[in-house]
Amino acid sequence: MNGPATGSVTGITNRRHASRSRARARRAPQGRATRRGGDDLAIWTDGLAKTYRGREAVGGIDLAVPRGALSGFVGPNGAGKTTTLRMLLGLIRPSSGRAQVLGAPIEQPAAYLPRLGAMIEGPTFHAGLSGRDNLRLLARLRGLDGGAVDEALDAVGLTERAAHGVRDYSLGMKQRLGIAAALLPRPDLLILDEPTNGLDPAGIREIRALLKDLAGAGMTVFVSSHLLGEVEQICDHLVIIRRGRLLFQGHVTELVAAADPRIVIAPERDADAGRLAEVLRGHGLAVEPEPASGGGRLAVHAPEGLAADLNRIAMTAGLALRELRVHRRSLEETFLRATGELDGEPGEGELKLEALAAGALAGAVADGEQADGARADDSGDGPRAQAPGGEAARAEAEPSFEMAPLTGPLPWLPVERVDAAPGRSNRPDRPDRSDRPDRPDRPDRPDRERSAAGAASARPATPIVALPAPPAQRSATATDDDGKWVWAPLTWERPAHQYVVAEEFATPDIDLMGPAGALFGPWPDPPTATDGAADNSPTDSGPADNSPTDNSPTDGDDRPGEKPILDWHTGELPVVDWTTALRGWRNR
Amino acid sequence: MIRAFRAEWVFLRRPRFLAGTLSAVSAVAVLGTLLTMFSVGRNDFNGDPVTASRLALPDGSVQGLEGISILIGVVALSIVAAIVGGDYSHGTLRNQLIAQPSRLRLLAGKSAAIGSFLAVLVTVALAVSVALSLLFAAAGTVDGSAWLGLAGLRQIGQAELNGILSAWGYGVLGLLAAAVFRGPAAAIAVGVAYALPLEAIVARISGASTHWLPAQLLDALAAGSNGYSVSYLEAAGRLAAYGALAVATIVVLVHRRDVTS
Repeated sequence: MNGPATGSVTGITNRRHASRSRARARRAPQGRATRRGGDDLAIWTDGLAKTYRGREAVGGIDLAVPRGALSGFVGPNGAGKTTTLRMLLGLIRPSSGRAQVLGAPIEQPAAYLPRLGAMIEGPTFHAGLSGRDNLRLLARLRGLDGGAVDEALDAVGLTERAAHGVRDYSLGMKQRLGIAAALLPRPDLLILDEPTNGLDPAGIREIRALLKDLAGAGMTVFVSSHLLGEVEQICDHLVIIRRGRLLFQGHVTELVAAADPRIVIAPERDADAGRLAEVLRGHGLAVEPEPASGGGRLAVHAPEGLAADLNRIAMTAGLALRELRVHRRSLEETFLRATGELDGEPGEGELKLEALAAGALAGAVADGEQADGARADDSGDGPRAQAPGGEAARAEAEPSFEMAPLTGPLPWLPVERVDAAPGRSNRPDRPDRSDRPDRPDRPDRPDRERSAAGAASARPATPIVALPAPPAQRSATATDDDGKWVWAPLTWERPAHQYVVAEEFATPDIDLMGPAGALFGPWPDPPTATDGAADNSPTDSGPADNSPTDNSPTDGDDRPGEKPILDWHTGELPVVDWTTALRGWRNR
Repeated sequence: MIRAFRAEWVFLRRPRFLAGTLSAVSAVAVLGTLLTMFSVGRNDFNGDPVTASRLALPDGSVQGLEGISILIGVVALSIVAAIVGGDYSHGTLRNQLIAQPSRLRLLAGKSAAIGSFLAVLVTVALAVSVALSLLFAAAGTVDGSAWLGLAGLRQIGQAELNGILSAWGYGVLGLLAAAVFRGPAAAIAVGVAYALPLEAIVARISGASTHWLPAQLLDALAAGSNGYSVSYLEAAGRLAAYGALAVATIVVLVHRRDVTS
């Protein structure tokens, strides 16, 4: 591909979207379904299906692509992506179902196609015409002037080759010309079908940058690909289909969180591998031999943020490590495993992803209902944020978010405290810490630095409690040392009832910070009413009375309902008042 | 429709396409004129005698073109089938439908553009044929004194009109084939096979069929019914009925069928 493909993209899109709200443009898509015709969805479908002579090409999918999203539409070849896109563009008629694009039903393509640009099944142009004339033809069809043609050519960096015949174009240039054709109407929604097919790595990078720029300027971009790894790098919202059925729909972090990050470690001597595994398991970590590498290596199912702690645990146990590295599965590997492609277990994998999609959408619905309140549409006309498989799949997913029984000590809780100073008091009369240099509302501080700060500090006098929220909300609550409840976004449940934090969170008012990928759990049994400590409820008694500081081991107040928790900075076991925590959770 | 018309002309005025199609019809016109002029004293393709006195009549300058009107028709059929069938098979139609969602407007504008292009082709072919005939007249092969008179010019105008109507008729046939087969190769092959050998065979088996077969009627129309047993009005009326039926079929096909390529 010749020339910069992105040089003028910002210009074209800025001109187009200058009047738009930046907030909407930058809004993180949540994959949330709302009532039909909702302004926050660029594409909405309800049971959209297409059957060719008894063969089901698309089996009734429910799409909800948020406006402003750079959304990836992923599936293997033959999954039904292009058929779906053709239905959305009015090129083929659905066998059943409904759909809206930019708020207009697909039965009336004239209502939305003027605001939509698309490239379907690769660039197709008249080979005998120049690039400019091909665009001029399409511009005339849209009633646009030549300025739009020049603008589009400039946007994809093809101005210099515009006069050349398309038959002389490379594939990359044709792809860019196809994107230019899609950009002609300065669309609100850009639909691209496999835009990087056949491109060399440089061309792929250029297309990626171009799409990012377009989405960054507020355009909704819906890009299909059979390469999950490809869309992983640019998309913030994902729709995954297979065999005409929806497998997943939601934020990319939903799927990323399922990647099951692992840390591969190896003791200095291979013979110590078993002992190291025992030590780590003793801390509640899931450890297994690393089958691929051998040589005494172990795979610890834990996020990157725990690497230093693994090292610390090993050192405490008298074991030196000769290797410690983080392995995160790519989105593609995660997807393939989830769909059974790697394990040869299709079906089971689909269920996993469907359950994930069900949970994600259930959460989206809950969020939507909370936010929209009276907008709930009982008429049944509105789009339902149904996961594939409907209620059954959702029901299958939800139980996994219930409290899991605690069978041992809480293994670790990687919610990092950065403020604990040696010997400091967490009592309400403690001095104001607002002027501390290491406040957690500075997310730019490297994790390593934060860890060092925490490790250097004394054992926190106050434990931090994290609890899963009700399933639909997909979030966790945590108490700070004042008994306040904070929220951490959780998106994925791992085996053994651990939850993964989707994105880094930090609360400016309290000293709590969690890195993306951090794990919570497993969770203790809910204490019974006889466990006492009802007065510790933050809602009942206020922060001062239920400060967990009161329950710290330094107080020697080991009351019923309290469970030990590992202070992961020091290895010591502070005490958590789980009754307080659970009451707070129940009172939400 | 006007947008679609203007857009289609961007495609039609490609230099190579223009050169190819104009060369083709010019060659056909030259061939027809030469064969007609060199047939003086012999019989033509239909067995009718070709005489110098016949060619000296006011319509003598267009006899060459009228004699090979079926070839002009085949060129028209092929062009339409290639353009529309190509739009289907190459995928350019889907781009156009995204830009112009109204299929019928797109079809109407595209048809109007191609129809105007066919008119240009017929005009060029006629000009070539008349010019070559005048050269033969200047060479003394035939008497062309009546050709440029008022009656002669009227005959040229009539031949132009008939030629255009005939070309449009063949064009509708090509459009129908393209809409049915959605590809240029099949559309051209089936269209030409029908217009040339199939109808010719049927017409030789049953002479009465020339009053009903579309391509036979188009030939009669192009020739102004000169030398044909079917009258001009009868041919025009039946062709209008066939045309309406074909257009209705095309509209339904284009409007209802999925665009899958």
